[in-house]
Amino acid sequence: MYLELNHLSKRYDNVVAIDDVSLSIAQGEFVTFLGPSGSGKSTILRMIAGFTRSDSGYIKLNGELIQEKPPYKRNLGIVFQDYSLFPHMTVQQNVAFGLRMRKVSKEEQARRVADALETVRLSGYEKRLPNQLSGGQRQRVALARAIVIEPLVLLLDEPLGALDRKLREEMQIELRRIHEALGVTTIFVTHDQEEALTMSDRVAILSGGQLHQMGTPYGVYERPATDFVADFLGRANLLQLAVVACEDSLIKAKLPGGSLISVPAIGEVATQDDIQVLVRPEHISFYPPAGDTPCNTVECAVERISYHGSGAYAILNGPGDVQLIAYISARELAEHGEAHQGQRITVYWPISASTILSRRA
Amino acid sequence: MKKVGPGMLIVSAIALLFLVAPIFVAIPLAFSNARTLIFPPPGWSLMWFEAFFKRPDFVKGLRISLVSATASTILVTLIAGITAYGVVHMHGTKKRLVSLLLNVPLLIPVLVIGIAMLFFLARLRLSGTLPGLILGQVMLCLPLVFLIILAALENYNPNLEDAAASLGAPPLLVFREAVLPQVTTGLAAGAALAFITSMADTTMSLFLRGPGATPLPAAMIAYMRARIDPMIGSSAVIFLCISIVFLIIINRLIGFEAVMGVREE
Ligand SMILES: Nc1ncnc2c1ncn2[C@@H]1O[C@H](COP(=O)(O)OP(=O)(O)OP(=O)(O)O)[C@@H](O)[C@H]1O
Ligand SMILES: [Mg+2]
Repeated sequence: MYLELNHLSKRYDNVVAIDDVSLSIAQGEFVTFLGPSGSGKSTILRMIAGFTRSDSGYIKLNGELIQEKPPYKRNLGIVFQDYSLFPHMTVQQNVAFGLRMRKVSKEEQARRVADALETVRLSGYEKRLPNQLSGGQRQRVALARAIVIEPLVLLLDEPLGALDRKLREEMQIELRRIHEALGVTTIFVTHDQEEALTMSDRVAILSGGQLHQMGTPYGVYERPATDFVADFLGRANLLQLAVVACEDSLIKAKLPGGSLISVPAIGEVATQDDIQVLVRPEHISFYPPAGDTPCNTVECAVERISYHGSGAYAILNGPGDVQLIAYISARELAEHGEAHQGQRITVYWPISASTILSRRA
Repeated sequence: MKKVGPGMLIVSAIALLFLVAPIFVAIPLAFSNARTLIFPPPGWSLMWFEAFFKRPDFVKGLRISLVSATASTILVTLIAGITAYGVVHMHGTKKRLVSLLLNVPLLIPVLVIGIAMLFFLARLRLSGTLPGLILGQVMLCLPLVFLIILAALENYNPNLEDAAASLGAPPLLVFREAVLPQVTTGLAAGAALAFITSMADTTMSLFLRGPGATPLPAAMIAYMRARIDPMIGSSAVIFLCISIVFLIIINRLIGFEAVMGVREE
């Protein structure tokens, strides 16, 4: 692999910032580090950049151990959350900085700076100082400054955090476009799960300094490895079940209220085990699915319906104090009419849409 | 620019007048031709400047003042600058604790510090010497200058150092390109304050003076014990000129707005 992190750990006094993180990234990949505040995203980025040393473990870039290399020899492009443009330098000088450090000739500097500014669509702003630019423009300058040196890896630490929603979405598309144009291996840090899922080839989900899961957006969303991941990405129904029977490909388990549920079998699960199962709200429906898809059914009472963009979340009370959330699309609502509070209802979800997260003996 | 109301303007004018008025009494006195302190002066002359430069104790005092103030300015600016640089890289309790400790001397009257310095320097066999005087002035200025530099570094962005390094700048260039531009203003303001405070210091000088180390303010106090005449005015003007020359030099180096803490937005 192009970039490998191996068993990295880091403590600050009494906080474990990074706890045995290993992951690898292929050349040209766009990978997102996703996690709540304090989960260690920046710390890992700073380790790759060389600003912070890990207590143990090592980092390999392009087959070379870079642990002992100082930051200025690593040739990485970094965009900081506050952009960290040099306030006393013009846009031109900011972008040219890395080239000047590399003793590139004046003519080539001018040419490459112009190219970089063109890539981030900021031509014509060369003479401005950073404080004469808007947030989005500063962000572009920071990006141009990082890509102009043709870095081995582009590290972006929450580069869109300070932008408003609309600009943010524009820049997301811009970033992907630039990534595709340059093909540079990119690590993007965010704590916005939607951003992570829409932008990345793969997502690494961190919490408390641990890597919970790394995979494609579809994979981490539909097949989360831990209950943290399931809960952090979108909304989740986490059902606590007791296994009553194990068949070849199917496990039959009981909700606290006694309803029997079927779950596709993965790993070693035995009768009597307690398991935790994830069902996404959008898989739960008020109506049986078309065809003969095998389904689970549960009797519920509607507690609340909250409208949400193109559909509605229904909060449901099932037997034995189990609470379920179902996402009902606008089309379904239109076809079958609204549900009202207190209404008794049967909900359905395809057996294949449930995932076992963990097993407790 | 913010709008300033008429009330604000009047208050500012009065405050300014109050601050500046003494200077307008002292300056005319310096050019008086009277033998005694009469205001306004009956006629004009430069005789009191001539008298000033004819007194060996004053000329020597002026030289000692200049030497010690320059030395202590360099020392204080260096020490306070490095300390403040360290403090802006600290976080949380540590940062607050260090800043607090460095400000404690401000709470102690100069008189007390002077006495303490006297005993301390005696131990080092430095009392009454020029190095002793310089050390005393360093003590005097350090907390003030530290405070000024720290305030000027409030917007210091340590990330710029990382940014420069990641773009290929080795440590020395990081210092030149990312650190220096951010700290020169603060250092200059600190140096200006240190120089002026050291030059004008009287209390500490009275404690630490000695045969080869009597700065001008101490020499003047000794002179004024015997008589009071327009010589006070002329030495005040000389002081003023030195301060102005110093500020002009700093201004030439990095800009006046920076030194006086005024900045155009
Ligand atoms: N220099 C430091 N000294 C002490 N503790 C630190 C330091 N840097 C980070 N930490 C701690 O390490 C943990 C991880 O911090 P990190 O900055 O990597 O989180 P993050 O995921 O980037 O969070 P955010 O989304 O808020 O930026 C936190 O608990 C933080 O307090
Ligand atoms: Mg962070």
